[in-house]
Amino acid sequence: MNRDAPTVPAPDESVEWSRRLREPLPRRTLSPGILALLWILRIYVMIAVPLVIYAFVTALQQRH
Amino acid sequence: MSGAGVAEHPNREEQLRAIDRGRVEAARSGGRPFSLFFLLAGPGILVMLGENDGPSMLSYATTGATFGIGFFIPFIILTFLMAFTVQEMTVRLGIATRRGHAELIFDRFGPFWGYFSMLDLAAGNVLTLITEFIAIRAGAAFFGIPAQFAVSAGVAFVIIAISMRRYFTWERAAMALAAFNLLFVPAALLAHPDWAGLAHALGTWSPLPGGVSASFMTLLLADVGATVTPWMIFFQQSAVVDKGMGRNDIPQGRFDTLFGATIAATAAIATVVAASALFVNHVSVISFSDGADFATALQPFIGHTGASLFALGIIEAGLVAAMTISASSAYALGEVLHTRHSLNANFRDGKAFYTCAIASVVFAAAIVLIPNAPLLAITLAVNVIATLLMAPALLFLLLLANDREIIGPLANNARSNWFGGAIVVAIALMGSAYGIISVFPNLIPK
Repeated sequence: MNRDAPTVPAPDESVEWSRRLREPLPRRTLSPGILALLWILRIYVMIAVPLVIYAFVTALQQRH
Repeated sequence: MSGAGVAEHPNREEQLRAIDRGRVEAARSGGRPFSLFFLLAGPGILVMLGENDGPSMLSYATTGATFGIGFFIPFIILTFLMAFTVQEMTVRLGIATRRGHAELIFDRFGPFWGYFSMLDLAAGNVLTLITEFIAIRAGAAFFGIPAQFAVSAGVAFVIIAISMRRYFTWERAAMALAAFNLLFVPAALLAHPDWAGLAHALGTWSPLPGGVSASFMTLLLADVGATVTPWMIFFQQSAVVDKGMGRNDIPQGRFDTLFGATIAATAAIATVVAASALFVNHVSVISFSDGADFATALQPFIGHTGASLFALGIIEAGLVAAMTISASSAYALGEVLHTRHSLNANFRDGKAFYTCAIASVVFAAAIVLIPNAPLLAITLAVNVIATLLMAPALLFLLLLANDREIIGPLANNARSNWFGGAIVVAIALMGSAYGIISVFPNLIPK
């Protein structure tokens, strides 16, 4: 007897699993602290994205 | 891993996952811990060795050639401990929610942050993939293999592995390849390392030749960036879900991540030790741009065999990362579009998933083969993007790991929250500092 013989779970289990995963999760209720963190993140992103673009353009110019 | 158009009966993807789960349960009920670990290992090992990619190995080589054996040896161990702490959260998140990271951000924080995270990941991944093919090309160049052949062979390997349409096969192929990351260990032994110096460094975090300087800061931050990047978070969580890991598998998931971190740290330290031969012999690496430069420069000190192992290691680093990074992009796209996203899916159901994985690899390889392409600019941009945009990825990870509505009892406890939070803040600050220093190098006095 093969000890590694797979035991396939009942099909209903997979179907139920798939059905649950089709449903999107609800939006999270954000506390004031998390909202503040996300605003800090927005400001960070507004600074970081131009820096990324600047770095790429500068590197391109250095090549020529 | 499902999406629109899921049938009411188990499809190919679900049947294959059920077979894999059956093997796991057979090993568990049969009391075979090694077999159980073998079956459940993968996401953690691959994420850690995938991050030991072409640019990361060059970062470690530059560290060894610039500072020798000293402060950076224990520091690298610390960075991998940090990486383990971060990645362990993705194991719990994936197991508790059975959803990928991109999907969770989209659902829980809304489309703005969902699309932002997706764009962040996509930009970083495409550019990083290009640098992986630069590494493959550079490593092959050491053996005189033409760039077109090396890059095409790399693309073919990645596509064939994906085309198996079997997560387990893809994972095993990637793990077998990733084992070659340890080629840096014999390369290090051939450098005849100073064992007493190594032990001294581990115990005292010294010496640090030249003290705190601009190059020290840059390499310190680059080594952090070489250990934790956004794609790792997305990849491991998606892989844990695609593998079908459940709550009973958490100990193995944690051990898989710890084991991967240990192997990756060993390879990283071995790279520093191998390259320290250049430091000992006062060889400047300022003008070095790729792995072939290091392999060629090391040849007089570690011999042709050692240099060949080093070059092979660089090829492996690029190839494994190409597999994992392309998969991470494809998983995230499928999660956001709510289409099937599994390496077990057939081509028809997983059209978007497979197209994304294959197209990203082909695109990156094509860029590398364009004559006079701005590869140096791309490499710089990759470092800056990966480090500057690490903060948002880590913040969302921490918020999700504390979201008890979705993660329940697997949420961070107070201790892991303080520990994890401190690491997240430290990595975010160091990553941001590295990004800013990369853009404005004159901020730090020479």
